[in-house]
Amino acid sequence: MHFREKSGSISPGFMERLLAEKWSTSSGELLRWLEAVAPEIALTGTIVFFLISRMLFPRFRYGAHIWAMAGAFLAVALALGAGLRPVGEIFSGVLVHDEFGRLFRIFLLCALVLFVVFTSLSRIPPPVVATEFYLLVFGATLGMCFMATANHLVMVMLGAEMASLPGYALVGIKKQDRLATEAALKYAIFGAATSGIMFFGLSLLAALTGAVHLPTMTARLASMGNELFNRPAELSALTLGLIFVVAGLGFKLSLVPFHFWTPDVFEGATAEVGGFLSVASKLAALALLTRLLVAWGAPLAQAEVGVASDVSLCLLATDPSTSQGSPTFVPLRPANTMGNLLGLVAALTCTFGNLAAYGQTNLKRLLAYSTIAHAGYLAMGIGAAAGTLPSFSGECRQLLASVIFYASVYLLMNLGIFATTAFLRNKFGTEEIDALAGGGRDDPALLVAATVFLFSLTGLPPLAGFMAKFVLFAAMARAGFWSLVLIGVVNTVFSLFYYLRIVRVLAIDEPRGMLGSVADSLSWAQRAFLLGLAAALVILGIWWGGLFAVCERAATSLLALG
Amino acid sequence: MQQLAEALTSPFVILSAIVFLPLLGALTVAVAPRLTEEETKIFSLWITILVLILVLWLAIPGAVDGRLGSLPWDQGRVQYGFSVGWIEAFGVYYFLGLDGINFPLVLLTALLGPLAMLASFGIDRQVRAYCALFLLLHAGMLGVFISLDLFLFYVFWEVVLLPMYFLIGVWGGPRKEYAAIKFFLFTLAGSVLMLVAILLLYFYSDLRLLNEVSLRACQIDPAVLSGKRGQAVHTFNMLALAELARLPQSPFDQDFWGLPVSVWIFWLLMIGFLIKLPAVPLHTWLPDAHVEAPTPISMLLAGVLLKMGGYGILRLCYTICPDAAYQFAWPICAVALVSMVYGALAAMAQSDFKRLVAYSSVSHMGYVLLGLAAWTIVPGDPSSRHYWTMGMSGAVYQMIAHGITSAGMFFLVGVVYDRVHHRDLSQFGGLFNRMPFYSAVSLIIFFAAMGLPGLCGFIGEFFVVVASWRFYPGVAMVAASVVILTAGYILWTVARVFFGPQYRGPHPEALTDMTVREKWVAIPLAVTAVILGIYPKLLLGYFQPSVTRTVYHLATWADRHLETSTTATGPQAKPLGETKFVPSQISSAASLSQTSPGLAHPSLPHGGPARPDGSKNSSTETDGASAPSPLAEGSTVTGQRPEGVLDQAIVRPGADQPKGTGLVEGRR
Repeated sequence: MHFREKSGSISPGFMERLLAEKWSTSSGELLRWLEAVAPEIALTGTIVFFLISRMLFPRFRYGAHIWAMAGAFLAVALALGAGLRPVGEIFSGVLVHDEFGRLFRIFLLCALVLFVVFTSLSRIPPPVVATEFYLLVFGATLGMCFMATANHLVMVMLGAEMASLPGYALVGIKKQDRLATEAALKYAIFGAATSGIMFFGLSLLAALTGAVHLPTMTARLASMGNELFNRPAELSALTLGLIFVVAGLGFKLSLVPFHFWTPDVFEGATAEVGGFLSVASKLAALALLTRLLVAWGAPLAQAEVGVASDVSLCLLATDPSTSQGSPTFVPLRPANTMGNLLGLVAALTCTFGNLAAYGQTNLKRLLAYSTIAHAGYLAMGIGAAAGTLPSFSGECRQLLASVIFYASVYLLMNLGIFATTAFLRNKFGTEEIDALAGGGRDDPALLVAATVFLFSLTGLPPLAGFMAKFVLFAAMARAGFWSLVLIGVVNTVFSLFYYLRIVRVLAIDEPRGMLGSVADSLSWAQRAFLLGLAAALVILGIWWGGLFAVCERAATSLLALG
Repeated sequence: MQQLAEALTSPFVILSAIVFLPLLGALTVAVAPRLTEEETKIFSLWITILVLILVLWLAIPGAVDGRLGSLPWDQGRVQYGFSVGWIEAFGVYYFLGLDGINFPLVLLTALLGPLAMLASFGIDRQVRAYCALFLLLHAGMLGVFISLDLFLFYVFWEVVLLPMYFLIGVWGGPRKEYAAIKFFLFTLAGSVLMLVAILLLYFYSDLRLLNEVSLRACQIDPAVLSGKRGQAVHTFNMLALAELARLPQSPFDQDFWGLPVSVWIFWLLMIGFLIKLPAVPLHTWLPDAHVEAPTPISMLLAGVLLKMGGYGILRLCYTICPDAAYQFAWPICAVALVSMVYGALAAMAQSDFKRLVAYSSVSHMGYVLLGLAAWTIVPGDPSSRHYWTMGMSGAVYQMIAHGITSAGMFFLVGVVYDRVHHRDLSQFGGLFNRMPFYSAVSLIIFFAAMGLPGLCGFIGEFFVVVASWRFYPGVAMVAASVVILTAGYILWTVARVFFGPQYRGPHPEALTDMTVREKWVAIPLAVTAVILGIYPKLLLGYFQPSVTRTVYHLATWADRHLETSTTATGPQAKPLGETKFVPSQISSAASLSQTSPGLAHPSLPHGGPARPDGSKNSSTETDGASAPSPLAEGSTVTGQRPEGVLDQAIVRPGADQPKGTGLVEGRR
């Protein structure tokens, strides 16, 4: 099992030994592996149950959300029961269960539970398609769990596709709706294209290193070391491979040049599906991107390119703590350059998302841009982490931890605001912002919850959203990325305006005539759901030390691989 | 029983109760199902009164330290406070404490709370939400002043924004949405800059540079240093940050993007605070917010929220960044003067009563800024620091006085607005005949705002003007002439509203005198204005030692860093001969203030021992080991370090300096 090699020298018979070791699996080990993937098995079991239930019980569809809830709760209970205790590589190295992967799996399954509860409260999906809907959702979640724990390029591809394909169908679940169909088609086409690009990138990297197992790739890259940069062919393969992979995952994260699908898809899809895509699929893509960047970036970080005098690429990373007088630049390392480029893209993404949100009239479209902006904050953290890779302790770990923490908070607040959107749509039959004027006035619970979500998204204390932004900015500051901090805080001000606009419309504006006519007030369960999420954000804003410590451990476990 | 009483009067319980009682009240109001609107208001009023009682209890001589007859904070330091871990991984503590600088402001907030709540009894829409938000606002304001952990401070600072947005936006006037969002955006823009400054402070701070005595004085357990060998221990502790800034080689002198990091910190913080204060180019949110806000909220906005800016400048900018304070004394003073003049002129031009009061706030807060910014310290001249002590005392006094008078003026405007539903000055007149009691109270408050001697507005303005003379006579001349402008618009307003021809606007029949409830709001404000005007020592006694101590530390810094550049550019360093007449003014001020400590010192022989004014009180300290006198402490840094205790773990930037330099310089 221990074929990770710290230095890089790979002995000649390495692959043979590897294979021999892999196939000699004892049944005890197999049991351990199966135990580790128990939540995934629960998901699969639910999927199979949904598939055959249509055959066995034709009238079953009406209880679909109950079964979905049971499956989701079982999965999350199993995942929580398994805890964060690292197991290491399982199934001959195709998956790795380190604390990082397991934490993200818990996040994803929690998102699934919240999502299932939310959808069973919001009456979308309609009972006719409920079984299929949950089937797709569970399938996607299964893929996302694999994305979070993938340790092998095959699992990377499999997980990414399993997570994406159901998403295309989910967007078009309202098949009579022209906007939804258009959105689904758009999403599928762009998704397929970027998947292709990503797989091409993966194959380039596989060809370069002659391996598909991530730690082996790490070891190979490390053994090539500086030599790599003297060979133009290899260097261009590496560069292209990295760019293609980041582009593919950037599409899923909706980073700036690959963001344009987001508003259309979110506007076409129901708010429920939008919430799922903006939370679960972002989290999974984030986990995968982080893992790949660390796996490939860490060995490259040790190598330094000869043209270190070209500082134009590392303008973002000045390290004032080590300098007296003039600012010095960290020496140009490929991994750092990659990180800085990602940081630049992230800063653009964030700014673009926040500015483009200003002009929106549709609530879901506005939230799509807000999603883009938040992906920008997250990617800033990852970019900065990649930019500081050579120092495994300290800065990089804290950056990754803060990104994970941000992701967990983002999960709660974004799902919350999408749930609010869905309930408002149920109540008033519209998602146009202006048409919702005064919509929260007669419902204090909804108004309080929406305010908490929106202010948390803005990043105002004492809500969890502020703490997430704070630890992220603090980590970036500690690593010397002050310009990213500045961009981040300025963006916070930009974002206030459009989040506050929703609050204003709901709380302050005078209701316009017809609003009351279709009014159908929220059930107590819906209010409890919203208030529960809001309370979680308040509590997490005050006692966040524990969760952050967990995130820190996860980051440590991920970096230990390098 | 004894233990229970002790536990209940511990700082933890009392200070937490002051901050969290309103918060609990807000939650109760929000969820309590069966309170009627009237009951909700009365409940909220009682909560604010309870907070006031707690704060007043702290103001009783001897209540804090048990020494009979001693005023609290007579040592100028945080004597009443506590610190418990919050997010210890980040060095964030739940650190609340009171000293002379924040106590007057807490007192002001606690006093205005019940008065504003009483003024809120006229609110008739969505009363429960209003009361909940009001109490949340109250908690936030108290938290800003009481918290001594920078992170906690920031959290409370932002907590204030949220209820304020709704209170203006929902219950405000015709342009409430515009005003509310403008207020929110301006303040948030300032506070994110503050956040960057806070991060800079955090990452450049290093607790290992402080010795055990200083750490304990900042309520930091020296154990935080253990187990952190080789790694900097960052902090958000405001007192520790100030201590660090006072080191001979401050960690904030390091370079950051071409400038000392303290300059960045100073400006980032300063912009945030100037927005809040507000100073002139950044003030435009204020007239809108004040005019559109409902009356009680205007009272709090002008009475308390603006003081958060002044407090921040005093507590953070000037204690942590003395070099920037010295370097940029002129620009800041210029901003202050422009605010004063512009605010007064703009007030003169208003025809809306409330807008006039709003602009007068801009003008009056300019005095606060000028008093803080007028750097008078000349290295080696111990007398020079008395002027700054005076300026800063004047600034603090002006903050309190303005809190009383501006809240009063907004309330009084609200009283007539409630009756006639307009605020057009040109239609008012002759109210003295119709509303005699109202007019009498109004005259007191308006004259107090004008700075009439014998009323509270005079003391602060006078101190500031005198202190700024020492900074540069021209500045004092402009500042003094603003008094004339102020008199101009106030007298003109008084003439137009209370005297003059008959009332010409709508609803003349509604102009009846104040109700009992309104009297309960107005009378305390008027009485406070008079008391503070004739007996300033009542308030000065609380904050004078702290201000003296702050100035003392700045002077120590100046002695250490400025001796070579006394003649260089920078603030005016006039030889004393040119300001010969000042002592006579001082003595008149001193007689006014009942010879408060710190103002009687110009009689000291020049070149005498540079004893800080607070040392008189310090000598009464019983616990000399943990609380050295300010002089000793200023020089402990290198002089009294217990060698070998912490040195192994310490990497001092100033380690190459000969030991004891600070001590020698401090006594020079």
